[in-house]
Amino acid sequence: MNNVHGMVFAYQQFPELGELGTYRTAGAMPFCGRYRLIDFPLSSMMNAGISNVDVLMQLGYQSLIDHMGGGRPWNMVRHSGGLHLMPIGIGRAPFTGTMDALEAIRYHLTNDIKEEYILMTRGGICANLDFNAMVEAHFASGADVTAACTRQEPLRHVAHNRFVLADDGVTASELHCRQVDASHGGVVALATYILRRDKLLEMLDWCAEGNRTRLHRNALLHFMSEGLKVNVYMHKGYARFIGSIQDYYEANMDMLNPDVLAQMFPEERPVATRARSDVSSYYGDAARVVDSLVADGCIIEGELERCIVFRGARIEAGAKLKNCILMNDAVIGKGATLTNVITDKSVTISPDTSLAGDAALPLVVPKGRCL
Amino acid sequence: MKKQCIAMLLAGGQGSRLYALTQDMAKPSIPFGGKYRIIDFPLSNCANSGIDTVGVLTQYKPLQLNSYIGGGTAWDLDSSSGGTYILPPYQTAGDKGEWFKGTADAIYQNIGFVDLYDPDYVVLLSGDHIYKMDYSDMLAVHKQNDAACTIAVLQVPMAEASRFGIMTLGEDGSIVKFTEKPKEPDSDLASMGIYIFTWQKLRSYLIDDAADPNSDNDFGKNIIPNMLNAGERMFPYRFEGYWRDVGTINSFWDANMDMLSPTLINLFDRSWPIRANSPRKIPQYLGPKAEVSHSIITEGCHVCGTVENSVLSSDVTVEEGATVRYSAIMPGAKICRGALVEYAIVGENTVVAPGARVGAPPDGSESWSVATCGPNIRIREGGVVAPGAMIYKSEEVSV
Repeated sequence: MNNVHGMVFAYQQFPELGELGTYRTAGAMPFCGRYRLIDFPLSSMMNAGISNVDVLMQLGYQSLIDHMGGGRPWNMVRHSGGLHLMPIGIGRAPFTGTMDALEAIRYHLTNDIKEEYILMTRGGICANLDFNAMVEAHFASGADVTAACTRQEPLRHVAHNRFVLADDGVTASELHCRQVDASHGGVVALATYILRRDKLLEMLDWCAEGNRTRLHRNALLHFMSEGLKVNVYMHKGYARFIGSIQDYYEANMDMLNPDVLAQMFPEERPVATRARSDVSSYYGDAARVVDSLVADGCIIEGELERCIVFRGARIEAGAKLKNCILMNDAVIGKGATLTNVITDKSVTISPDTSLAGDAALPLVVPKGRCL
Repeated sequence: MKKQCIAMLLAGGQGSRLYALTQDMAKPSIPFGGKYRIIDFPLSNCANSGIDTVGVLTQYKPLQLNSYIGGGTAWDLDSSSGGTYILPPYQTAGDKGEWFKGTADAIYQNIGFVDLYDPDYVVLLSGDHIYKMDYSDMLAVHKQNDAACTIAVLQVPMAEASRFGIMTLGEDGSIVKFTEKPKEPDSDLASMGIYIFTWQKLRSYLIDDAADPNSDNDFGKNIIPNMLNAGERMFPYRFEGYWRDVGTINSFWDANMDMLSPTLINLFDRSWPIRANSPRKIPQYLGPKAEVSHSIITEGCHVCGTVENSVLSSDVTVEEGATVRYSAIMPGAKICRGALVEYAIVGENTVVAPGARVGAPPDGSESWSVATCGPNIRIREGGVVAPGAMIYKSEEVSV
C-alpha cells in the first residue's frame, strides 16, 4: 500500500465518558485487558501495509502520545515517513469538525504527503477493519470515495451518519447526517474513508471558502449532490462507537463472547499494542476465575466472574468480583466485593470494601484512587 | 567503539539430554516458565546490568533462536552504540572455516568481534541457566581483586558437590583449584558457568589454546586450568539466590514448577524485569467452567478445563473436560477434552487428542520420571505416554 497515506483523527473527547475521559481522548481508552482503542486503526493500517500514518490530536493527548511513542508496535518506525504524531493544540480553538482539523494540517497534506490516496479514520471506534479489503474494493470500483459502514445498529441512539444504499448494494445514494434512529434507513458510517488526496484538497478548498468545518454535513453532502460517487465497504465484524461509559462497559463485556472476540482479534489481522514486559499471570490456590479475560502480570488469589482484568492487577484472597473491568495495576484487598465496577488505572480498594454499580450504570473508580 | 565490558553468550549447545525438545531447536530457545525462553534470563540480566553489547554464539539448530533474538529489541539490547549480534561459525579465506570445536574455540574464532569493541572485560555466559544476577556487581568485585578471571560460585550441599565444577579457595580467598565433577569434593563452591575475564589476558590464553593440538578447546577443561597453572589472579564471586541449570528433563521440569513459588524467584519484581520477545496475543480467556489454581497462565491461552500446579506458555488451549496437573505446557499446545496431562512437559504446538493420557503422578518407584512430548506432534486419541517416556514423533505413541 505504498500509495496510501493513513490518517487517524484522535482528538475526540466525550463528556459522556465521565471520569474515564478526564485524562484521555476516546482513542486512548483502555480496552480488553491490554489494548487502547487507537490500537485498532493503527493495527488495521499495519496489517494493510500502510506505514505512513498521521495521528491528529488536540487536547488531552498525553496518554495517547505515551502509548504510541515512535510507533514501534505497529512497525511504523521508519527513516522517512512512519508514524507522525501531530498534536495541534496551542493557539487553536477546539476543532469543530474533520475539515477543520484537516485545515490545521493543510500544508502537510499539500506538500509533505506524497501518496495519492488518503485513508482516514477515527480513534474511538471499536472495530478491527480490514483496510486491505477496503482499499482493494475502492480501487476496483472506481468510486471517488469509499466509506466503511456497518449493519450493526449502534448500542445507543446518539447521532450517527448513515448512508442509504442504491439497488446495487454498494453505491451510496443518500447521506443522512446525525441520525438518532434508523427511521431514514441506511447503514451506519464508521467514519472511515478512502479517497484521492487531490479530491480531499478540493473539498478542503470548498470548505475553507465558506468557513465550513464538517466532513459529512458540509463536504460530503455538497459534493455528493454535485455527483461525487461514494461506495460503501461493508465491515462484517463487530463494530461499536465508544462515546459513553455505557458504550465502553458493554463493548468490553462483549469481548467475553468468544465469537465477538474472534471478530475483533482474527488471526490474520493481529492487533498490536505497546509492550509492557509483564510476567505470566499467577493464580493462587484459592483462585476461582470463570468467564473472564485476564492480561499478563496479574496475581489472582480471589474470585472473578465475568471480569476484564488489565495488566499488573493484584486480587487478594477472598475478594469477589463480578462484571467488573479492572484497568492496569489495580489492587483489590482481601474480602472486597465489587459488582459492576470499573476501576481506572492504579486504583487500590481496601480489604472488605463493598462496591456495586448497576449493569446499566457501572460505578467508576477514578484513576489512582485509594478506597 | 571502545567498551568497558561486553558479554559473550554461548548458545550453540545441543542440549542432548533434552533431546525430545531439542530435535529442532537449540536449548536456549526452549520455552520456559510461561512467558519466557531460557535465553531471556541471561539477555535480561545483561540489559539490567548495563551491558549493551552481547555476542550470541550459535551452532546447533540456531534458526528459531536467530528469529527469536532478532535485533535484540525485546531486551532493549538494540542501542546504536552496541546491540545483540548472532555469531555463527563462518567461512574464512581459502575456503576454510570450521565448526566451533569447543566453548573456548567459539570465543577464539570470534576474537575479531570482541576486538571491534576493544573491551577491558568480557562476561562469558551460557544459555542454559535460570537466575537473576547483576553482572555489574560481579565486575566491581573483579576489578577490586585486580583479577584475570572471576567465576560466579554458588554454595551447594556437600552431597551434591560431585555434580558440579568445584572451586577450592586459598587463604587469600582466591581460587587455587578447579575440579570438574570431583568424586571426592574438597569444597562446596560450585561454578555457575558465569565468568568475567580481563580481555587481554583471556585473549592470549585463547590464542595459546588454539595452537595446542591436544586441547579440547574448552573453558572448564583447558582455559581455566591453564590460567590457574600459570598463577593468574582468579577469584570467586559468591552468589546467593535462585540459580538452576536446566540441562535435564527433571531439572527443567523442577525449575518450571519453581516458577509457581515467588519466594524462590520473584519475576514480578519490576526493578529487575526479565523480558521476552512475546508474540502478539490477546489476554488469556478462562471459560465458564474453568478451574485454575496454583498455576501460571500466559496471554493467548484459552482455558475451559482444569489446570492445577502447572505452567502454561502463550496460546495454550485446555478444552472443557481436559485436566492438566503438575505440568509445563509450551506455546500453542492443545489439550483436548477428556485428556489428562500430569507430571509432564508438552512441546510447542503439540496436540494431546481427546482421551489421551500423558504422564502419571510419582508412584514411589525408582524408574518413575516426568513424561515428555516433543513439539509439533499429536498424541492420538486414547493414546498413552508413560511416565519417563520421551516422545518426539507422533508414531511413537502407544495406544
